Amino acid sequence: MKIRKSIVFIAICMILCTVAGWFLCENQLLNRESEYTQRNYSLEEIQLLNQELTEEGLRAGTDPQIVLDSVNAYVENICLTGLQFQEDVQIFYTEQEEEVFSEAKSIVLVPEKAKAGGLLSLEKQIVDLRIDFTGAEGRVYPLEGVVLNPARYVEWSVGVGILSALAGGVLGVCLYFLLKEGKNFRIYLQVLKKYRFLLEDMVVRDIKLKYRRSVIGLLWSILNPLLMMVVITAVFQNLFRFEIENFAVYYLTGWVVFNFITEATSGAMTSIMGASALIRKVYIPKYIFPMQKCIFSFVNMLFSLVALFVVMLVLKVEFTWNLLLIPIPLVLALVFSIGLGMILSTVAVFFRDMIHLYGIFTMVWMYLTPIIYPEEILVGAMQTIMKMNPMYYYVDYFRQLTLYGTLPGVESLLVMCGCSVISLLLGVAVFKKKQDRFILFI
Amino acid sequence: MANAIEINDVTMKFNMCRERIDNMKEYLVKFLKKQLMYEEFTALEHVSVKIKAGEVFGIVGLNGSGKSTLLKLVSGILKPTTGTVRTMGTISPLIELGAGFDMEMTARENIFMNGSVLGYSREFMKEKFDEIIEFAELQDFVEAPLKNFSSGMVARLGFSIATLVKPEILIVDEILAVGDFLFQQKCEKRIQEMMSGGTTVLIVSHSIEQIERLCNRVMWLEKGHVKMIGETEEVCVAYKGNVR
Repeated sequence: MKIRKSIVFIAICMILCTVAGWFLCENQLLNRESEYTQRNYSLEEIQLLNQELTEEGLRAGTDPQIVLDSVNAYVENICLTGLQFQEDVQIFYTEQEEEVFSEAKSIVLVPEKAKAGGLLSLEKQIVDLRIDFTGAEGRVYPLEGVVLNPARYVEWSVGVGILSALAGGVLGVCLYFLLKEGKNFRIYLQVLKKYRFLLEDMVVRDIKLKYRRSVIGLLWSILNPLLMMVVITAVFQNLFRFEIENFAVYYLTGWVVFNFITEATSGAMTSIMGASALIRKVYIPKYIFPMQKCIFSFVNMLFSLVALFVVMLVLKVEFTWNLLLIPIPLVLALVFSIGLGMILSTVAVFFRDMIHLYGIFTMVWMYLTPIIYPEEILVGAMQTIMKMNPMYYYVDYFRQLTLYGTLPGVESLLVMCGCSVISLLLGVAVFKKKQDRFILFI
Repeated sequence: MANAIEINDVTMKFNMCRERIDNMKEYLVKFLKKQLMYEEFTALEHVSVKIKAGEVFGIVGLNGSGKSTLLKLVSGILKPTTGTVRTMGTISPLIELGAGFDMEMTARENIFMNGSVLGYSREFMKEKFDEIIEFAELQDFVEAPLKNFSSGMVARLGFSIATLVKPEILIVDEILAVGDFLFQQKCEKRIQEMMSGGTTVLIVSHSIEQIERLCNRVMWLEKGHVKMIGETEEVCVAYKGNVR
């Protein structure tokens, strides 16, 4: 039986990745995403905590070692549950010192110390011990994961196995494609260069056709996001009352990026079918079509940036030099869309239902991306899902640069680059493999 | 002389859906039963031919004999199911004139658009713009949208763009039947100019006279099979004899 070389290669990659994943998990090298969440402590909870602690026998006169162990255990628990502000958890105790009772001292719990191992070192007999949580009442705690518990590491499970195998598969396809086609790269570039005029012409035509016969024409590209923003802001600010500063800008920044990616990908998806007349008649590199739709959406998005800047100006958002960096997330998003668009267009040619499915998918995608809600409201598993959503990184990066005027970390930049490159490679690989059969199905 | 076009043992199959499957359940059932078969239609079977550079090669055959499929294979629009097609040099396909014409746009816009479809640069098209208009005799209609053109005018425009540069391989499919006889003469003259300039030409035509007048060698296709390849006279006589 003939086994394809490519399939063997991809299978090997999948196995290697799974083994690597297992290795990382077994050696506790994979830190789980720190769970960034908030909760309020009620008075009842605090009283309960205090009560539990006394019941465990932490009374005056107890052996220091027991006190130490219990307190340390408790602090672990506390840190994991999340009390972290120094003034909120205080341990008052009195040491017996040469028959003289010193004044009640307070130990401030610092999670960093907990991490390092030694929390408290009690050398003397404890006379009085009281842990006080009252300061914690009604406070909102951002909980940052404290690495105390082994459960903080990603544990090996079937799900993790499947995920790493999948990642291996994707990497395998990309690598195989690169190895096989890498040497032809120059030829591809030459072909692309030859047809760049076609690309330009088609994008220009798309823009002309989009606004033909509408009275204000191109202005719609600016007006549309503005009106959307007004509606959404009116609804969400009055209905849901999220505590977001500058909700209008918050929404608009998210919308611009999200809308660009979904518009580009869904346009690209139907592009091959839409160009059937041309594909049947002349030879044109077929990737031109999904690319054209993505670039068209990109140009459209540039127009809506004007709207964004106007709104920022009106709402007095500070303009910083970081604004000059916005091409980074936008161009990376374009690359990402081209890759995804190529995959979708290939699938849609053979499986038309994809068009309808993708419509639903984009809706789900929108709610999984913090666009109309603050990202802090996502907790637990939802948080993990959000972190696995490439869209989040593009939106967040863009928002950081515009709304907050801050420069996001290198980490998110790397994630974006990774998503874009993998998407593009995968898209090109899938597209190239199937493109010769398009004509039989359109 | 080197071969301009090499067609090695090419078979081309198309899928034809035997029945409409329009719901998911049916699709799944058929898929599981492995009945999800398409009836295959073989347009070409084991066709091999080598065409030398500079040759004028004609293809004759009745409707449905696979002539156009063969041309599409040569121009790269279709890829063969099995076998290989190799071509050397630039190809100008005159299979469908004015592919990518947009009826809503003006002649000027369409010329540039069509030029870029064929892979020409914008500067080049600007240079050649007047020449195209002149050849197509459309000086008065440059800014008119194409939807207001007659079909003859559209064909003329398409022809003048497609024959703009002298390609190394020219593929001609029944297009000499466009326009009035004056324009036909003009087209033929242009093609003959190209031939004398060393261009390899592949012609499909139902007009035997045209084939006889232009070609060096002819291939006769019948239902996807090569019936005969040889000198023009020989094949044309046999073809005419057979058809009658």
